[in-house]
Amino acid sequence: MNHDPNDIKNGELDEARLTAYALEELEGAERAAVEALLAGSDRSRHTVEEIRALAAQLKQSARDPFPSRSSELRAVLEQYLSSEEATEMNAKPEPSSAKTRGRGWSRSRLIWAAAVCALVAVIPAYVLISGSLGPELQLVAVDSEPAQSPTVVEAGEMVAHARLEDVDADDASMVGYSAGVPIEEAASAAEFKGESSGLASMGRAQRSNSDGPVVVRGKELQAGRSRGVEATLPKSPSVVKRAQSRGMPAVAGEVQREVSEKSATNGMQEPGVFSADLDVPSSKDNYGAQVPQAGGMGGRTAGADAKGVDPKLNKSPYPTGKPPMFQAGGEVPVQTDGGIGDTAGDELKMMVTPGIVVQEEGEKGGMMGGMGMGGAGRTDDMTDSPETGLSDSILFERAPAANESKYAPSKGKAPAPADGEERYSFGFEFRGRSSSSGAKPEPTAQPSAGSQYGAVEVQTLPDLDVIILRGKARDEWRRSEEIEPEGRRPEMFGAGRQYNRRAPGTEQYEPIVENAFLSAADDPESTFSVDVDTASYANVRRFLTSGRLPPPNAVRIEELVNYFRYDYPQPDGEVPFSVNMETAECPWNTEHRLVRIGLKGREIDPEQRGPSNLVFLLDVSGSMRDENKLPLVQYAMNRLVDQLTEDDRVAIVTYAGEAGVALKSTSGEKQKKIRKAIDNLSAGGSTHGSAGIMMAYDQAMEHFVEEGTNRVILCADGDLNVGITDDNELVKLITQQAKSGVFLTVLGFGTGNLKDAKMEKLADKGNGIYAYVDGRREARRVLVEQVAGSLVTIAKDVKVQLEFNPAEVKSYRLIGYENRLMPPKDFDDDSKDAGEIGAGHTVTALYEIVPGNSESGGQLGRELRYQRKTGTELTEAAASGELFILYLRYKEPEGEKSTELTFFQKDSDKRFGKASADFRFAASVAGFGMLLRGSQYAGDLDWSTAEELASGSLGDDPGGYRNEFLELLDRARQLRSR
Amino acid sequence: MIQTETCDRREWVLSILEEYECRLVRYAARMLGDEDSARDVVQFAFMRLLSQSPEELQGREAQWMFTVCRNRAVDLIRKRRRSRSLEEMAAGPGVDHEPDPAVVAERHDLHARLRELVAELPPAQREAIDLWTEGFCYREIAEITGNREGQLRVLVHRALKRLRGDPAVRRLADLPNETGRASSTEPKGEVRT
Repeated sequence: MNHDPNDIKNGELDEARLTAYALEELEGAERAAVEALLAGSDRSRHTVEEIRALAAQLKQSARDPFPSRSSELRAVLEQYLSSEEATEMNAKPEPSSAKTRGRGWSRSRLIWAAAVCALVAVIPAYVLISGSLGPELQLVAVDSEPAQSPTVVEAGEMVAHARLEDVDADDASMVGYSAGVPIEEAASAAEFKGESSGLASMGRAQRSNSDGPVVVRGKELQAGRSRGVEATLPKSPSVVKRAQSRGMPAVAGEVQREVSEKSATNGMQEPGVFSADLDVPSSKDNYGAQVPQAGGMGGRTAGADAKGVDPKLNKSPYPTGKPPMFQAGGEVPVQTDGGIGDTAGDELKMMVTPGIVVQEEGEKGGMMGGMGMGGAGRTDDMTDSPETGLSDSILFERAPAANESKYAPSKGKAPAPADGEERYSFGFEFRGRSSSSGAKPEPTAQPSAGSQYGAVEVQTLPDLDVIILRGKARDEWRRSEEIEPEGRRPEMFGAGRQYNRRAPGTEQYEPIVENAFLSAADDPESTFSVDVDTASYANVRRFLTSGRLPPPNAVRIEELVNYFRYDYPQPDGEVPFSVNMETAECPWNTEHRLVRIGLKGREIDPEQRGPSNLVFLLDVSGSMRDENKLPLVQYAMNRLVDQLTEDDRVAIVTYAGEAGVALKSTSGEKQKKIRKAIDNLSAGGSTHGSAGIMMAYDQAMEHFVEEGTNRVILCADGDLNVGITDDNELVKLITQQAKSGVFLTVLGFGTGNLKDAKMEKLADKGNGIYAYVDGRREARRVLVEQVAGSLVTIAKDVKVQLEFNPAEVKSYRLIGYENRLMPPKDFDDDSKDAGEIGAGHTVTALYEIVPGNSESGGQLGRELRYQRKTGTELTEAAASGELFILYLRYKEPEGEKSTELTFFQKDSDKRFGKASADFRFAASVAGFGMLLRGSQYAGDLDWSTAEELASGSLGDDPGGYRNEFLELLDRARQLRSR
Repeated sequence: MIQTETCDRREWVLSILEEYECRLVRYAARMLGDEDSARDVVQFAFMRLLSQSPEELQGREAQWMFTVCRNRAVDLIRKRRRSRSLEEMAAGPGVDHEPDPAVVAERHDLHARLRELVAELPPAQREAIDLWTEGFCYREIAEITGNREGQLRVLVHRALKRLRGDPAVRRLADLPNETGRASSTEPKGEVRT
């Protein structure tokens, strides 16, 4: 039975729809359509009746047999629950084995995705890769070891778990179906892809050289998807047969093929070469998902070089001691048996832990130039050429023998390949789709699950040198469609993110791999969405004032920079904002230039703002009781209420505790009533969340104001169980509501459980801002001082694109905005969501530019200002001396069409000291961010220089924020020097 | 506070046990073909449940439980396949082909026939039907099984079409003859009006 959807016969879809109608499964327009059809067709009506009659019988028939209850199961559960109580009473959650108590599961919304395999030469080897269900994909390092595996569990065992919480089941089964494999197989087709259809469509296998490892690259196109595939494996015979999972639901894929089959496979150009296909399902949970761009190699630069790992990168991501292994990841050793050859069996041992390091590949430092945004705009190549296919890979470096004692005793090892290294390199593409049974963030997650939203995490193992992840994967992941429910596939672009330190508690930060320097010739366009969020600064402040350095991934440089007000002029004319550019010497590398692009939204007199229709959606779960949570929310709300007038309305909806409407939408003049409702709020209770967010939106819609602001303000500490458990649904709802005019602002409170990335994403989707409120001052700042800005959006979907002139610019680097990068082609695409600018908001972006000229390596294939399509010739405009041309697109708050503005910038050769105070201050904040992140791009900068820069550029400093920054700088310096 | 939460959790877990255990066992047994394995699978699912937070699962407990069971069962089936011959596999993992006399005797019964037919459906269709009869809607089934909803529609449709096409079912369910359907429609309609 072939289930390929392409195989569906003509008319079958219609019939299926009719069946669906009969079973009451249709809604809306579709239902109406069928009803219309039925009106005209007796036969169809008859069919419907028949189906209904049969379905009713079928349901009845399914009731038998009805199994009895099991007293044993109940007893087991009761016992467990009692022991749990006891444990919790002692406040000591006991880490017990997943196997017996199912405990491990909580970590595992990490779902494991799939994996698979690589077989080379005579060798089916088999690699397990697991992707976590969380957005973090867990990649697995592989190493060789004699077969002395402890317990061996069959691969299939793990597969199901992966699927369990989500896994892109959709695709999985599609693949399975189309390959004609039975359902059981299809069930985990994601993992087993290589076994069936994956193989068949693999192409372009080739040997990189006769003696070295075999490189297999391939692609697969199926149902509109493609994936790049590459495997580099040593020619040592090994056959992996089983995978084992300890303590974790993990997934293993298995591919075993006979050599003969391999040779017969389509697209294989050489017998004995086998390619692997990885398929990494993702979860809907993937807010902010981001694949750490290890390397961020661009399509072209990644090249065929899988070697040259920078030794300096080989250090442990953990500043001290060993990484806390297995905490969330578990261990997934894969055993290989003796194989076909005469060598002793290897064991591929994989290990996964979230929270880690993704390293760059390539020669020292220099690499970056080609990476990062290197792939911008070139996605298409990706699937078309083997060269670019390479950009899509993960590289597992094998450890030198000396380090192997722990996991890989050297006896009985298979001979190492000629170059002494074994490499496992895979390319793959993340697919963003996911189903809604996926995992949810869970406050109780293990500490190691810290970076839940982090896309791919790769753990280097003590016995592994480095694990490399590169290419498209991260890009795919990053803007992937978990967040883009419509399911558009993101294209390749921009830099990725990097992991290194773990966040405390269950705070979750999206990993950031800083943007790299990109060639102005090869990647002339740099595109990003504006971001007026400031949460990162407040969060960093919270860390520093409490005497700790923030985890690097909590430091989003653009949010630090944008926290401050800059004195950009008000816009004149129709345009809702002014654009202010300035170029001067770069303070941390005097040979470089620093360009500041500053946007300033029109200020709106608070008196003149339109009516506001606000709905507070408050988390009142027990965890909000802390002094810095609900009480702070109440304080903030009261301050906001001070500002409200009779035209405004405010409502309060609570969730997660006493759920419900605490205050129906009330006119702003009824201050007393509103305040009473605010004061009556209390955290606690055990009523589980209900449709909080729906209620909030209902309240907002009920009193929708046409000419004003309609906004839901979500205040939470991390528990975002707002009533919709499916993250995809939630994002969809928020996006939809934003479209219909109700925006969402997210205010984060408290510590320890902050779902930073997710909150940011939600606000992003809701056309609102995300702010972190760490104290009364911030509460006032966000809700009062910026009330107009926070509440009145003056332009939405604001995108900035720079095209650099290769005659003037050798390379450039966007500082910050890592998670706001867009593929250049999305710039013109009005359907692509981007950031909003509120009244009076300023948005500042800094580019570091390496002056000089650069030559393009080839075809650009697009119309550019400074370069011909061929990419080898410059246009007349290139001689203009302009550094870049800046395009800016935005929509009016209610508009659907973008307006585009154009600006040029020349370099005035200004020295840093001559730059404006705002420029210098912004530079110092960016520098501070880089130092906090431990950025490799910080150049000559050190703490005292940063302090100097900042103290010399304080200006008037209304509100004292810049002075406060100076204190933070000092604090950070002290903490760092400890 | 902590205690309250645990108490709630306790109740929550036990209420799910109360409500779904039997349905889950039935469902798993259909997939696996024997009740013992099914109970193992169900126990496994409940163990998983223990580490779930009630808030996370709120409102989709059933779906979650069925998903876990299903996946576990799929694992088991896959495992079994390794130790079984291909023929056995072709026969389907969950179908018992021993002609149980009781079953034979029951054949005349519509429900029994339906169950039998469902068991013989291609796995994907059977699964869709199993879940549908368990009360899940298309969307939920799609989520549990990992199908696209459109795909699922086709699966259910094909399954029902096959069931409807079975002569024994048509007879027992008192459905008009397949062949005579088109012509018999009109008269029937007239009778009603």
